[in-house]
Amino acid sequence: MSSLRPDLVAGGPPSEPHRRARRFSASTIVAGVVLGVIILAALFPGLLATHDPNATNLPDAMASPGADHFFGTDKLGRDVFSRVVYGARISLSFGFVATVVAVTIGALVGLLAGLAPRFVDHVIMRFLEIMLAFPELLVALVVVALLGPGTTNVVIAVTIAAVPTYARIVRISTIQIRSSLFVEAATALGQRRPTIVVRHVLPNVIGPLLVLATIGVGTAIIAGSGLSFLGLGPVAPSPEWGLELSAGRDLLGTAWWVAVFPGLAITATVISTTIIGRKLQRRFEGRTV
Amino acid sequence: MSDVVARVRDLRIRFGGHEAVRGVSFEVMAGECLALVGESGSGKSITSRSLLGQVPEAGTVSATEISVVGEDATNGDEKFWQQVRGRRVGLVAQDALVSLDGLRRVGREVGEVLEVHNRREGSKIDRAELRSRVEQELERVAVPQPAVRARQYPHELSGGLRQRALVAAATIASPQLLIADEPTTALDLRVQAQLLDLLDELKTSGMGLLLISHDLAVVSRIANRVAIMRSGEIVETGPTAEVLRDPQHEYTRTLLAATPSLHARGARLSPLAPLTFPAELAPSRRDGAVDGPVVSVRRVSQSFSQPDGSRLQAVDDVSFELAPGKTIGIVGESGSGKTTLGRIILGLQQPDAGEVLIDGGAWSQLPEKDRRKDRHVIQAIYQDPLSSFDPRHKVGAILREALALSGVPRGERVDRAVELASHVGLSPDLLARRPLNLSGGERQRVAIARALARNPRVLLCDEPVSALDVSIQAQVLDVFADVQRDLGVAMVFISHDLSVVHHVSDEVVVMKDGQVVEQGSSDQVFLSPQHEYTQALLSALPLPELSPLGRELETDND
Repeated sequence: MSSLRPDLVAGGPPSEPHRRARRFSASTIVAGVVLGVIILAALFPGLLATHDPNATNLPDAMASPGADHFFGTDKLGRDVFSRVVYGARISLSFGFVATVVAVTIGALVGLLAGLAPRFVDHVIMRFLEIMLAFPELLVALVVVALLGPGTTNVVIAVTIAAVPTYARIVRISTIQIRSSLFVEAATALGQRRPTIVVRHVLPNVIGPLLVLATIGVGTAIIAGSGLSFLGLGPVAPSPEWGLELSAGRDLLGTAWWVAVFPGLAITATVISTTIIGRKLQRRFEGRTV
Repeated sequence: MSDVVARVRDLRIRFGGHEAVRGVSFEVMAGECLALVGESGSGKSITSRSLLGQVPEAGTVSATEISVVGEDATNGDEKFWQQVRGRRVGLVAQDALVSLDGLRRVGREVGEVLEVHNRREGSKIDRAELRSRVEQELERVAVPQPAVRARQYPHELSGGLRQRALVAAATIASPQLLIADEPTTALDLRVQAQLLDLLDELKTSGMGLLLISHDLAVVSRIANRVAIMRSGEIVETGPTAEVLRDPQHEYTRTLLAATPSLHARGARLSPLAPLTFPAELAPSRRDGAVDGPVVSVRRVSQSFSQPDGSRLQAVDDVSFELAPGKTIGIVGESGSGKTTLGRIILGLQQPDAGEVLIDGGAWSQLPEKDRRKDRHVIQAIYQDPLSSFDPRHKVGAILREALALSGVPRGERVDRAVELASHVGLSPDLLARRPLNLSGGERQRVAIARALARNPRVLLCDEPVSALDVSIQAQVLDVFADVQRDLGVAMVFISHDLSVVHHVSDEVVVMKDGQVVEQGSSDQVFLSPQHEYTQALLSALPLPELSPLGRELETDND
């Protein structure tokens, strides 16, 4: 949101139309492919999985990665690759569901704080600041402690923990846009206040927020998997990445693949969403004022 | 030969496929000022940078000759240029606030050139000596209390002092050539006049001066010779007075025609054909409007609390009336309260005391919901039209929003937007573009079209042409004149630029520190200014002997 606009200083025709990078860098392409495969796994796990994720096969337990079991098997002989594939749905839903809900609530709260009279803003902000004083994961832990463990409760906890960040960003950009010249110009033109909010403020706030939300998906996945790792999320034998990681941590010396592959899945997902989020952010920043 | 401080022959600078400078040649003598005049994109700045070896890396420079202070610089490497910069050629850039490092004291910044050059030559300059040299130089450029100022940071200095400090930094190592790139552009008129005097003195003391400017009027004050640049070429060059009196090239004539201070009030400034506006854009009045002034400002005052707790009186007891179809100019330097007054007149800010009436009815005292239905009566044009448009909207959407507010049915808005655009001289294909991709002049036309869509009786224009090149400024001023002629719209014209205000106004209000120091008819105020502030402003007006206004002023004084 820089105010430095060299094309205005001189007032002549804008020099060179803003050149947007149209080509994608290698990292963006890789991130896109990785994320695409993971989303495919979440939607249609049957397409990718080679085994039933919950089928135990004790004779084959702790088999190392190979042609039959790409990622090896765990101590019950379950195929790690298939469990990672099936786990995508739960782990991604932590990220996407929690982020979508958190962004929606955050946007509403932030808009309210940014547009309401000052005392309402003060009350909302002080409350958000208290929540922001604690790390997100800690807030989520407290929520799970209150609600009890379970997949739904983990999603709720991660959502609640993420809301304050989004609310604060929305509030700031609301205030910024509310006092911008184009809002003043709309007022002088005779536009009604609710129309100004819907037509001019809201769209300009939401755009950049969606970009940030993309990056937030990664954070939410880590938080969700983290809670599962601690045994607060889905219960075994659900194939969830955090849970897998936790189950494999005692076997690192003997069967590293049980923990490493779910861990890699988490890492790859988070890095990919972040890379794509940053890419969107750079694109978007070129267009906002 | 010894007095040629810079010579350039057949300079070409190419950026990829685009040739920004195309065969430019000139010389600067010691004790002489050559002005490179041109509009944005003419290549004037980049030309001057070739004398400092500071053409951006993407550019390819070629020239038959570049010589700086008698040394051949055509194939100079970075090491060569490091010896030249600061020591032989000084540079004063446009914006002092950006050009000075905000984290370093002014004295440090001014003395840096000496430190650097001494270090290169293997000697080290003594601290006390450095300090006294810095103070001497600040004193030479007329910075009061140099010892105090040297210990301050750039933000603690006024714009004028900062610009002087920048000059001191450029001249401390006694360069033989000084390049001043738009040195006065961001400055108020009086400060601008002082800075021009300072540059003039430096020139008289024997320095060669290469002045880069877009403003012929400024240039005429100190330049011995001018070179008019367009699209990377010098189209005309010669002694200043000759070029201004008897321009040979078409483009020079357009530039001169576009300069308001060179013409009688209200004369056409651009070569474009006048626009015509149809009756459907004619002003609509308020319900229950009474005849008489369309805007009455009655004893309006406004103060703001400042961070240190004190109150700033931004507008102090201001009164004036504006008759239908007339223009009132509000002149003042930055901080004089003219923009705050504008916001009060628009009903965007409730004054502490006094009131504004529009069309004879209550305005500033009304709650916003009662004012809204009559907002069409007064519309605003801003200095920066781009930021007055929603960045997400295209030109078509911007115009349709205004048409919708005027009650145009949805089905007709697209066609009406096309008509509206053509009335202000915009091609219909621009409706599908974003304002960001339009030129400054086009953006301002969109703003005018949007305002006219509301059928206003009054246009409030806050510095509407300040960000534009002279030839574009001329076009926009002509559009305002056409609007007023065809539609009888009254205008409140806020500007720091006296020559522009003189050009458009029937009545003038001169503001200083929130107060009106002088007001009356345009002739009265400009030809026989009573208040010393107005007199000071007018005497700072560049180019007295060439402008009708200046001539009238001079005959008046005789």
